[in-house]
Amino acid sequence: MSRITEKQAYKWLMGQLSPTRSWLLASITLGLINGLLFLAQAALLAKIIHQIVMENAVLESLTNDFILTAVIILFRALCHWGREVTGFKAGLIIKESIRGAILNKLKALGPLAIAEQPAGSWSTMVVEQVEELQDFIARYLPQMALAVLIPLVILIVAFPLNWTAGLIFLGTAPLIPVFMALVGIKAAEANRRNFQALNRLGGFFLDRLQGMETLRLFQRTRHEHQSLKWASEDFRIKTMQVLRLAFLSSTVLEFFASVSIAILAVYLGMSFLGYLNFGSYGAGVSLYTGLFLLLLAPEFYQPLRDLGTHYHAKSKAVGAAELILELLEREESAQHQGADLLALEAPVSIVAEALTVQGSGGGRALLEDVSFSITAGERVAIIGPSGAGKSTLVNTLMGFWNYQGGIRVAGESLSSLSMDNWRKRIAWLGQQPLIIHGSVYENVSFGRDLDESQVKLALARAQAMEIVEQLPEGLNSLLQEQGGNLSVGQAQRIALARAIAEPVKLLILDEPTASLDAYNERLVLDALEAIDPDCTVITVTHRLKQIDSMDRVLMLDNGQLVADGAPQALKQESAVVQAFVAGLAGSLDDE
Amino acid sequence: MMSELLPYLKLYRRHWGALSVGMLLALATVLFSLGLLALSGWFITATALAGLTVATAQAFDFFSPGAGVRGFSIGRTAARYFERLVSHDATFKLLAWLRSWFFEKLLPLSLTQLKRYRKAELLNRLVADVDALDQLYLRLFSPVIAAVLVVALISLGLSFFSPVLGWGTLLLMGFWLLFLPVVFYRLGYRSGRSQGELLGELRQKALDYLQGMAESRIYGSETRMRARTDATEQSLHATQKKMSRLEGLGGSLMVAAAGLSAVIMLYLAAGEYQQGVISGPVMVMSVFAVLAGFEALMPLPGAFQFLGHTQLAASRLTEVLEEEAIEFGQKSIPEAFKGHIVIQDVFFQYPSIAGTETVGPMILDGISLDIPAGQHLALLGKTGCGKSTLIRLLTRQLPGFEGRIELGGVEIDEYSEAALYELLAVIPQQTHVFSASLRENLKMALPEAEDSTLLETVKTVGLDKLAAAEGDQSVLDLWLGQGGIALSGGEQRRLAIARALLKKSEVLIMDEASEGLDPVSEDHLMNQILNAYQDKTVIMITHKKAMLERMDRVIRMDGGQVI
Repeated sequence: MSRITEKQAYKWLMGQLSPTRSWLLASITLGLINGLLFLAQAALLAKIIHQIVMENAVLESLTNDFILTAVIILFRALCHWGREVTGFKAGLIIKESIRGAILNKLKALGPLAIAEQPAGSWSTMVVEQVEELQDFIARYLPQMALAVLIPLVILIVAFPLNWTAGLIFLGTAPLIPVFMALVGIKAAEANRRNFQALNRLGGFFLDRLQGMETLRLFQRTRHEHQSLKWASEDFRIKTMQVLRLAFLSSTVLEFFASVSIAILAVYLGMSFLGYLNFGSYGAGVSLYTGLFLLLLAPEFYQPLRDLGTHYHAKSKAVGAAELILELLEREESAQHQGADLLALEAPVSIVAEALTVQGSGGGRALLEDVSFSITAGERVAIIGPSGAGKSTLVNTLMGFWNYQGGIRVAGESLSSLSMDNWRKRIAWLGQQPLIIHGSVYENVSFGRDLDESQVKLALARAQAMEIVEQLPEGLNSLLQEQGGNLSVGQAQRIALARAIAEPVKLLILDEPTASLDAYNERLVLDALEAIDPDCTVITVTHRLKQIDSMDRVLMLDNGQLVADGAPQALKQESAVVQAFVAGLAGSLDDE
Repeated sequence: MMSELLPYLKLYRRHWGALSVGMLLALATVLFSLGLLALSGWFITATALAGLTVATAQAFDFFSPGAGVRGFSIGRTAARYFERLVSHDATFKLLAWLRSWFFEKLLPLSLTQLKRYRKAELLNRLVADVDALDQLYLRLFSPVIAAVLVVALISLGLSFFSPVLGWGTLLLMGFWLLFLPVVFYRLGYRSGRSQGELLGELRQKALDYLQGMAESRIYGSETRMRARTDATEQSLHATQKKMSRLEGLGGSLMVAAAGLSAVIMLYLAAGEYQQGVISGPVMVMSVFAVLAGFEALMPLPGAFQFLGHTQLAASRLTEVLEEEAIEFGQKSIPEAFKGHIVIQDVFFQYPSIAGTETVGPMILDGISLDIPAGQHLALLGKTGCGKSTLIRLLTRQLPGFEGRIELGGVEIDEYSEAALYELLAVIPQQTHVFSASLRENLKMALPEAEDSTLLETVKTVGLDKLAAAEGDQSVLDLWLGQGGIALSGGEQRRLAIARALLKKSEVLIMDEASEGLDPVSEDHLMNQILNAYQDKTVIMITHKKAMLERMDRVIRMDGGQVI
């Protein structure tokens, strides 16, 4: 995985904008129209005042101007609303497409790649990090355009009226790109430090909360309470040192905005009093022009000031984009996908010939030169120390790993089969039961078209009806993920119901009872006893009792098949199996 | 509507000094900026009128207003700068204080209750909720108070020139001041709350989809599971759309309000001018003042729109804080303490689970056990047999049981917290590695320990190998946990054992302490720890036969009883 730089992330993010370009343009256009309408509003206000003060016009004669101003203001309000809505829409489109891209990528990478990282970090990316893009697209990008366009329009309007006023604006205008950079760099720095400090503090707080139990057992809570205070104080002082400087850059902008109003006012006043006599192309300044220009002055700098307030949206978005791009650029291992279909009723025999599986990191092979043959309907245990390749073997059979060598299932080569079709023959039960956030019904049917009676039958066969009967709303009761309203044992029985809800020809069990107590283990094993004898069952296990009741045992070590045969025979003949079984007997779990 | 926030509002009192300075500076910024525009307007109009004749032009004193304009412009710049500094500083202080306050409040809660929050996600939410509260000041209080004061001051100022203008301003701006909060609070309340909930739901659905990828591939339901995620995303977006429309509405209302108020003000002022009540420059000044004054009202829609979110955070925190606390007694450690443990007819069951009527099963069913001081006891049994629960009762991590548990002749709930935990050393199933140096992580157990003692212990448990991988840095300075070295399961065990070796208390409790260690290290470490605690009482939960030979006595539990 290559590290993604800020620049790459920004470039990538800008490259994602094409589907939303028209919405962004609409947002910018509406912002610009709003700016133009403001000019009209200022001109009308200045005109009305001029008429009243200088021309002594009667109020009634100005009624039309009043109404026109009000109408313009209402249109400005509408533009403002439209700008917000179109900008939001632009963000929404991008969020949707990027969220989709992340999920598609994860789907393509497959369950094994997903399991490499805590699932929480993926969901943070899908939810929070994608959300961080919203303000950048909806607010920052349009504002960036407006921060250039609106001052430009004001300059174009101001110069023909009064070149001195134009010069006062323009005198600071070449500085605008400098400000943009300043506001950009310094505000970015300020924001970065600010967020960093907050995050670190948050991390510290979270860490101490998580370790509260330890702190209490060692009576260190007072001390950590103190360090929490010190750390906060330390962060505050350091961050404020940075902010003190960083805020100066926006203060410079503020200063120019204020001072240009002051200079303009003084210049206009002195012109009126006759002390200054330049700027208006010899025509003299009217009160109308003076007030109009004065009203424009704050507006000249406003877009740039707004940009500064949205700046943190940019740094957050780029930060998020870095992580997202890093995921999207990960290489997908080509997964085999054929087109051949198996007959639904065909019993599943499995023959592996010189099967080799390479890990994703290169390195040592996860399985090397493994050959075995399993007849349909056989009960097979796969044993071996952890890291021996047991899970790799079952994952390969389910089509989640690429392999070299040969696997024939029901006589067909696995790589020539359509995976969707093949997986319809399989059911799988893992070590940690998966409970999704939904009802019992949803957990068992898991997106398949099962009716209520099928679900109930599956639950009954999995000895799980008693769980459902205890729940207030039966099949419709919501199940909560681990530790909610289910014990692990109960969750595993629900997961088992899911696995056996539809008849299959191959059942793969990956240490199905490893995390269960005696009671639940017995229930699960009883349920498994009742599986259709035609169904081939492969069980990865550590439990002696389970091994004894199998037809066959395959033992893996270090990616190689080291024993293959009936359990009783192997226990007598194979030294590796004897050693392994002796190790298992050292655990008290089986008694 | 504020009752949820009330307990938290009181917290602000402590910081009122810094907060009010920030607020005053915010007010000053708006007033200077308002003054700058209003005075400029007055100045231009006055000079324009004076400039009509040479005599009035020469008599016009332009120094004072000129100086005023310059003063306001400098003042605004300075006020804005310091306002930002002070309010950020105050926010940091407030945040630090809130967290430390919350931490303190959590301390007496039972650990089992806290454990529910240990899942990172829930804790993250908790932390985010605390953060949401400190936004209350910057987003709500400061702007609201500044807005009220600005409206009052403009109205008062203008009423000196004309009562009509004073009242006009008060009515125009006062209307918005009352109208905006109520409307936006109501509008934002529901969508704000459901937005938070939908974000959580999307996280959950995405988690389901990703964790269930293998299953959904096998059951051919990947598309349907994905559709669940997509549907939640759609409803989240619909809610966000509502919120953004509200924000847009807030902004456009402000544009309309400011503009229309200025127009109405101009109309009123023009009437007053034509009746000779006020001068032309004052007319201009009053219009500009109202126009600029609306800047103070700008943050209000946003503030009230998100108030619902803050309230939700507050009520969630209150819920946590109101949970049952564990009460400790007063007794200190008796003289001539012996680690004799008596467990007599102890019953325990978990209280009913939320959402169901059924009470949890009996976890401990009248268990009795006498462990003489200095005995090394092994506790065996299947998962769920109640042995971990027994340990948790002994260490007072669970509240509420029936029966009697004595330690050294004193009932355990009579001990003070300090006394009890001085007596007990625990090697838990899961070791928390603090995001701190190895030194700090070890000093938890023995704060006054010298580096030499720590180093010796580090060598004993074999953690000195950590330094080899990290160059010649002193091993004690290595940063562990978040942002540092992630310890493997075995290394975490070693750390926990090191802590127990340092603490050397009267009773040692080990919950599967040797899990994840290779047989050679396991042998070595168990020798070390059992030797260090040779004369002390030791209770060890284990799954390994090899451990039993070292112990004085073996107890097997099933169904909450000794068998």
